[in-house]
Amino acid sequence: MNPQNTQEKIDSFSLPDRKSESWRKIDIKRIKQIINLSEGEEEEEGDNSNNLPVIADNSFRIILRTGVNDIDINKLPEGLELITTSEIREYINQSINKLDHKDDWGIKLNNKAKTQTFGLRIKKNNKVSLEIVIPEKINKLKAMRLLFIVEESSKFNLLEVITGETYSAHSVVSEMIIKENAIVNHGMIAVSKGKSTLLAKRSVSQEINSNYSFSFINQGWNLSRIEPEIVQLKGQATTYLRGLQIAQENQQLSTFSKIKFNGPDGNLNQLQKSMIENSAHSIFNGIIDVPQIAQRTNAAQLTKNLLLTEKGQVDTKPELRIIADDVKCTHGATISELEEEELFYLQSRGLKSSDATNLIIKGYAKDILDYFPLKISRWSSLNPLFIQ
Amino acid sequence: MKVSEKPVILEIKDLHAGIEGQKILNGVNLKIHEGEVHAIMGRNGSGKSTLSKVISGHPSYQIISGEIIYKGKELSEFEPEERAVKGIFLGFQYPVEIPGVSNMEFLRVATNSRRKEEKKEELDSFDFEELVNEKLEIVQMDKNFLNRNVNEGFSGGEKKKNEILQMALLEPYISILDETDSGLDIDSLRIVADGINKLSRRNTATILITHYQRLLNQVTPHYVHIMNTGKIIKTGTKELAIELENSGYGNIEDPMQANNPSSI
Repeated sequence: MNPQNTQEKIDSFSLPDRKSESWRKIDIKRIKQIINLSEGEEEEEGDNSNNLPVIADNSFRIILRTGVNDIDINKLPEGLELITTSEIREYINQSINKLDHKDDWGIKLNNKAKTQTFGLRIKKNNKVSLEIVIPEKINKLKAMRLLFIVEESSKFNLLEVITGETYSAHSVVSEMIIKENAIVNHGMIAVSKGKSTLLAKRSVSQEINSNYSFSFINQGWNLSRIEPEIVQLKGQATTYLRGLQIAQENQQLSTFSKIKFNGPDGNLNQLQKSMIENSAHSIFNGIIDVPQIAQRTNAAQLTKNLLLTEKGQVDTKPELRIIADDVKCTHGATISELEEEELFYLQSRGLKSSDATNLIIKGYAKDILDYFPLKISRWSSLNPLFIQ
Repeated sequence: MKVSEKPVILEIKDLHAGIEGQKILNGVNLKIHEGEVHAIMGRNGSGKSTLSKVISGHPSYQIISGEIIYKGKELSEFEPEERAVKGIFLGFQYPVEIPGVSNMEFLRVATNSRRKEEKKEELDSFDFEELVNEKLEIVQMDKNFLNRNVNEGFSGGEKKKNEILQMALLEPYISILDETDSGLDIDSLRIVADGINKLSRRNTATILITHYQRLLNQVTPHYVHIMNTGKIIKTGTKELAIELENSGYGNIEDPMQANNPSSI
């Protein structure tokens, strides 16, 4: 990394506790590099958000360079409303207590930094499609705090695009409050070119009869840590989590998911896939918490890892904490190499080995990428796999 | 015979081959001319499928000695995809499922690879759809198969029909069909057999690897070969298959073994 350190360093900030399960496998040297980065000024120019693709039909795009200042309130589409900074702060304080985030290192870092805030309310009974682009600050740390309140019976398509090309770091903490009968299809494209770091916490609380789908791709970061944390506040909600992690070169990419059912009759379907190339390291830890009150929970978690080289490393850990007795919870984890028979089959039909490999990989990614909102093929410059 | 005056498509000379250090083929000799249909029969483990994999270039199999000459060129240096685009087609005994890859896309890419080699114009998706619809009729498959993933969730019969569909699209010079008749009900067997017959041309040849005579009732072979312990021990006509069906492999004698006192 290229640390422009000292001038605006986050003072006396301690490193994560490596004894904790959640940080045990993380490369602390790379964490130190984040701490040593200076922070970008709010008004400062310097990101790579030019040459964006066309906006998807019937949707609205916001580019978050400096937070709330980026938004022209008069241009917001019907059904969207800006949440004031003080309101955001109030929610943040509430959620820190509610979600047990006091000791969360990623959130501490976010709080300590010059965090830019941004919040939106999707008003009751509305349908809104939104794309949020979060570019990096070149060679600097960028900290953002986002809040989305999705009101009753509304439908919200959200595509977040987080990118990084330089020795920069993102600390993005977002909260989403999904009210009764609301449906959210949330996609996140988090793609870098190998040098940047991403720490992304996604806390979601779901009221009954709500439906939340989160699909994400995590690719190309020097270090990444994506933490979807979903609470079904009273159960009786549906959650889909679909993650694709593509680790290349010597990158270390991780996903730590936690889904808690605080009531009965909740549903979860989780599919986490990874592809590991070169000497990269892919980590997945998936906690499913089903306490006594969460009777008749129906949860399925499957993780699949495709190890494309001998030097690659995979750590995958499903963690089911089930206290309730009347539940249906399944989990599975596989680590496999590229199937020789699949390759040969395609080759025997005239496809070159490299084309056959690409086709198999494209197929492998499909059942994650198919669920993103807002036509991600527009973003194929970040990854050709997006053209399905 | 008239057929033998035609050009040779494939000639296998004293082929010895194996997998992971285990020798399976022990001197296979076979000559196939344009327009011919050859059936290869034999017990499980006799080397039939290995022969098909070696011809098509499966990377797990190694040639120890011998030659495979296809249209005048020795094959061993060619990658499986090079063999395929040159017109060698292997119909798999167990067609492989490719999750997430649409059959339509796969078939189009494969067809265009072959067309490119034949110096024919590559087809865009509209032109390809027209072609594939025409070929679907040969195997009486529904268009919906095209939108599904390659062989994923297909029944045994559907997988085999999909193989014949690929054969129809790729228009190979030589097709090696490895137990294409296994797992087929009577109707599907008839469709597959009709497909094979319709796709035969004067300048193509077919190798049918099979256990049963029922396929040979519908696709008449010019020659029937019996394989045992990694080589062809007897060659005859369709009557040989009938004889086998009636009396089993026990009565088929390897003439070489019979004349070799050390084997007694």
